[in-house]
Amino acid sequence: MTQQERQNLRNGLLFISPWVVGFLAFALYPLLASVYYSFTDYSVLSPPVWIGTENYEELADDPLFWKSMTNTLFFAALSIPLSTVCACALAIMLNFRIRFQSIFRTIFFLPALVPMVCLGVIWMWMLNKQMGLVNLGLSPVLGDSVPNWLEDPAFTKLGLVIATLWCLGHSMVIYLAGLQEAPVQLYEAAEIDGAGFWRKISTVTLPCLSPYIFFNTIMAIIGSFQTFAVPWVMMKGEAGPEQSMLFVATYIYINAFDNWQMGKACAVALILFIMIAILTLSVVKLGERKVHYQ
Amino acid sequence: MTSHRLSLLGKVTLYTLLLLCAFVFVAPFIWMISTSLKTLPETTAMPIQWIPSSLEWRNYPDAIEAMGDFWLYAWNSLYICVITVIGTVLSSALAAYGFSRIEWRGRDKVFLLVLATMMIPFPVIMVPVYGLFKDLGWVGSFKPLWVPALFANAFSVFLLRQFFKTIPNELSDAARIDGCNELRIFWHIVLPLSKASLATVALFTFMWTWNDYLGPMVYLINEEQFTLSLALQSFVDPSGGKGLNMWHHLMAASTLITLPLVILYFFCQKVFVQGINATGTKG
Amino acid sequence: MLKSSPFKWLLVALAYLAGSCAQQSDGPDEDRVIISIWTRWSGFEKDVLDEIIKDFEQEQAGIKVQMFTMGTPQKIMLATAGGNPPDLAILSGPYIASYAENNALTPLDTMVAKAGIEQDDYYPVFWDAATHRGHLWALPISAGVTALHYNKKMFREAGLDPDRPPRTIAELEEYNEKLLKRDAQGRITQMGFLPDKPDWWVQYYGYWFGGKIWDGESQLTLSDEANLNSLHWLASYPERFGADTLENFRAGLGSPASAQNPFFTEQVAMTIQGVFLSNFLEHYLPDDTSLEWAIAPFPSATEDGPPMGLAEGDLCVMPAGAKHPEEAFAFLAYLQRPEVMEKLALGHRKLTPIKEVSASFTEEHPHPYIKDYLALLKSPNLRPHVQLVNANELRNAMRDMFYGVYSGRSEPGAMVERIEPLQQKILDRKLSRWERVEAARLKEWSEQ
Repeated sequence: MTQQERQNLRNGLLFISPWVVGFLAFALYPLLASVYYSFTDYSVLSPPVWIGTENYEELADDPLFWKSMTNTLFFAALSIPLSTVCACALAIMLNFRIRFQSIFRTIFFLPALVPMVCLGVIWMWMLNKQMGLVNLGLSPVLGDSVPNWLEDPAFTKLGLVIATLWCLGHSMVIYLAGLQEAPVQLYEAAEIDGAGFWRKISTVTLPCLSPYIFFNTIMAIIGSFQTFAVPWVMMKGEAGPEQSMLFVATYIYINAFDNWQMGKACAVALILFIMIAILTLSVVKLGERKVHYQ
Repeated sequence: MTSHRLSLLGKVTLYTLLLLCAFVFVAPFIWMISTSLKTLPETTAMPIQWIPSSLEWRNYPDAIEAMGDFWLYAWNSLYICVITVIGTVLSSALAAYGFSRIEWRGRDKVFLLVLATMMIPFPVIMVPVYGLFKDLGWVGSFKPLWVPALFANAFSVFLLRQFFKTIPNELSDAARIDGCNELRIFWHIVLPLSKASLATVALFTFMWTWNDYLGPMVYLINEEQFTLSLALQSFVDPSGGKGLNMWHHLMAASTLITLPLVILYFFCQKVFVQGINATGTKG
Repeated sequence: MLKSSPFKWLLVALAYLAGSCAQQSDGPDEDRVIISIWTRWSGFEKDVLDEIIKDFEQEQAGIKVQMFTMGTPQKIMLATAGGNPPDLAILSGPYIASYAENNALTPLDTMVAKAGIEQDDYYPVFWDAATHRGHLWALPISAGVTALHYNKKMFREAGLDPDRPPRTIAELEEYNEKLLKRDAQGRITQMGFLPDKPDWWVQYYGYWFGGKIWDGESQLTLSDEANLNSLHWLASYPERFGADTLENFRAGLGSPASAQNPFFTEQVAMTIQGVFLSNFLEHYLPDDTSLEWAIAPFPSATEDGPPMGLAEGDLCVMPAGAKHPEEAFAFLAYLQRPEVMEKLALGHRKLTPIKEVSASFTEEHPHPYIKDYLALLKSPNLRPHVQLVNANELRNAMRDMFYGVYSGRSEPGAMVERIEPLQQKILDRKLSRWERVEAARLKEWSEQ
C-alpha cells in the first residue's frame, strides 16, 4: 500500500464512520442479538432463559403465525403487481402530450403525502359499510350486497389494497421520469415497422421502464413485508376480524409489546428478515437477466 | 410515446380516462374535507351530501380541543423531525462522501453492505434495539427516535452518493493540490454543489419522520410526549378515545396533520419530483 | 471554517436542540420526595384526584405527587421494561395476571399487612381482581358493576309496564320485539336491546347464562353448554332481524361516549351499562332533552339465584422498580382510607370497593339509583374480568367469536370449535413457561 492509499483508506473510513457505528449498533448487533434471544424465553423484565428451539417449535405449531405469513404474502402478491400496473398505466397516460399534465401529476401524487395514521383513519371512513364513499360508489352496481370492508374477514385485506393503490404516487412519478428518458428514436423505429399502440408498449415502453419497475418492486417488497401502521389504525389497534389483518410486523409487535414474549418475537423477526432477503435477492437475480439498461 | 400523434378518438378516450382517474384520486380528499365541515348528524345522513349545508369551521378548533394538547403534539413531531433531518443529512452526506469521492480499497464491497441494510426494516430489529435503549435509560424520551439519525441512513447515503458521483473529480483534485484536506473539500466544494440533493434527502427524511408511527408507539410513554400520529391513533382508540365515530372531528384532525406535508410539497415541488426521479434512475 | 458556511446554523440548531433535550428532566430544587402516578383520567375525573393529592400533600409534608396521563395501559409495561416506571399507576381491565407474571409489578402483601389494610373490608370480587398466584398486586380504589338501564317512556309507549323491567333473557327478547319499530321500507328505526351497544363487555355474555371462561386451573370452558347458549342467543339476532337490516341500523348509531349514544337518542330502549352512565348523561345529553330511565340487574337466562353482574373497578398498582416504593405506598394507603375513597367515588360518581359506606355517601351521591347499585354490589354472583395471563389474546378471540356469530357470518358451534383449541394451546404454552420459572418467581415475590 502506498502512502496515498493508506491515507485514502484512513480518510474514507473516517468519513463513513457515522455509518459504521450505525451499522454496528442498529443492524449487526440487533441481528446477532435476535439470533440469541430467539432461543430464549425473554420478557425484558427478567433475564433471558435458554430454551433451545422451543420458540421455533411453537411458531411451527402456531396458526396465528401462519395466518400472519399468509396474510402478508397475500397482501404483497396482490398489492405489488396491482400498484405497478396502475402506476405504469397512469404514467403512460400522463406521458402523452396532454394539457394540464402537471395538475394531473399533482393530483395523482398527493395521496402519497398523507401520513400513515391519517391514511388509516381516512380509509376507515372511506370503507365504512353504509356511509363510506367506496360503497356509495359500488351500491348502484351491487345494491345491498356491498362488501363490509372493515368487519368481514374476507374483505379487510382488499380494502387495505385499495388504500395502498391510492398512494402509488411515488412510483408513478418515477415511471414518468423513466418514460421521459426513453429515446424518441426507438418509438420512431417501431412506427416505421408499423407497430400499433399495444405493440409499442410491449416492445419499447416496458423494456425502457424495466429498470424502474425493478427498483420499485424491490422497494415495494421491503415495504409490504413491514406493513403495520395503516391496517393497525384501520382496525383500531387490533388484528382485525378473525385475525384477517394480522401481518408479520403486527405479529412481532403483539408478541413483543403486548405479550412480552421477546424471544418469540425475535424468532419471527429473523424469519421475516430471511424472507425479505431471499425475495429481494431473487428479484435482483431475475433483474440481472431481464432488465434492459440503455 | 412522446412522438406519437393521437387520433381524435384516442384523445377523447385518453382525457376521459385521465379525468376519471383524477376523480378517483381526488374524491377521498374532497370527501375528507367535506366531512370535516359537516355537523355530526350530517356525516351519516343519507343521501350523501358533497357540500355541507353549512360550513362548520368550528370542527377544526373543536377537534384540536378534543385531541388534547394538539399544539404540544405538533411541537413534539416538529422537534423530532428537525433533529432527525439535520442528523440524517449531515451523517449521510459524510458517509456518501466517503463512498464516492475517496478511493479506498474495499469501498464498493462495503457499499454493498449499505445497500443490504435497506433490507432490514424496523420491525425486524425492534426488540434488540428496544433493549439497547432500555439499557441506556432512554425509553420514554425522544432520544431513541433521533439518535439513530446521527448514524446515517442507507437510503440517504445511496441517494447522496449518486449525486456526489456526478460532481467532476477535477474540482476536488484542484483543491487537494491547493492543500485542502478532505473535510474542507467536503464542506466547501461538494456540499455547496449538492444543495438540491441535500434538500431532497432532508425532505424525504422529514416526511418519513412525520409519518413514523411504530417508533413513537414503542418509545414514547406519556401523552405529554406524543407525536401527532400517535395522538391521532389514541384519538380513535376504542378504549376511551374521544374521536371514535366522530367522523367530522377525525377528518378535521387528519386534514390538519396532512396539511404541513401538502404545503411542503407545493413549496418544494421541484425538489420532490427531482428527488423521486433520482431514487428511481439507477436500479 | 464554520464561519463562512450556512451549515453553521444547522450545527448550532442541532447542538441547541440536543442540549435542550438532555436537560428536560427535574425542574428546580425540591426537597420533597416526588412520586409519580399515571392515570388515564382527564377532565373532572382528573380534578378529583388533584384535590385528593393536595389534601395528601398537606398531611404528608415530605411527599409531592405528580400526575401524568398515559396513552394506553400497555404503556406501563413499556415504561417498566424500559427502566423508567412511574411509582404508581391506575389500571382497569384484565391486566394484573399478565403484568404480574411478567415481573412488571411489585407485590404489595407485606406493605398492606403492615399498614393494617384488611381484606375483609372489601367486596371479595374487587380484592380478587387484584390477586394473582397467591399475591396481591394492586389495591382497588373504585368500583363499578354492569346493570340494565332502560327507558321508561319508551316502555310506556310500547305498552310495557315501566316498573317491571325484564327478569330473564327470554323476557328481554319479548320486550325487544315489542319495542321494535320499522319504517315503511322495512328498515329498523328503533329497537329494545342491541347486545353490541356498547360493545365493551360483549365477550362476557356467557356469564349471564351461567357460563364460565375457564375452570380456574388450566382448562378453558368456552364450549360448555351455557356459553354455547349465549352464542345461540346472539346468533338469533341476525336470524330474527335480518343480518343486513340489523347492520344498517347499527351503523347509523353513534358512539356511546357522545350525544349520539343510541340510548340517549332513544333509538334503543335498553342497554347494558355501568354506574358511570349518569356521567355520560350529564356530559353529552343536550340540556333541552330529558331521559326517563331506571336501572335493574341485567337479566340472566333463568330467574333463580342472585343477580349477575360484571364487576369492574380501578386498580392502583406499583410497577416493579418504582423509585420510591415507601412514599408511593403511603399515598396508596391514603387512597384506601374510607373517607378518601368515598371522596374519589363521589367525584367520579362510581362506587367504592369497601363494603361499608357512610350514610352521607349514599345521600350525597349524584347518581339517582345509587341504592340499587349498592344492593347489586352485594350480590355474591358478581364476576371480575378474566384473570388469565393470556387475558389479552383471549379477550380478542372472544370478541371475534361474538362478532362472527352476531353478524351471522359464522355458526356458534363452528366458531367455538375454531377458537377454543387455539386459545387453549396458547394458555397451555403460557402455563408451561410459567412452570419453568415458578419456583424462582414465587420465592422472589415472597421475599419482597
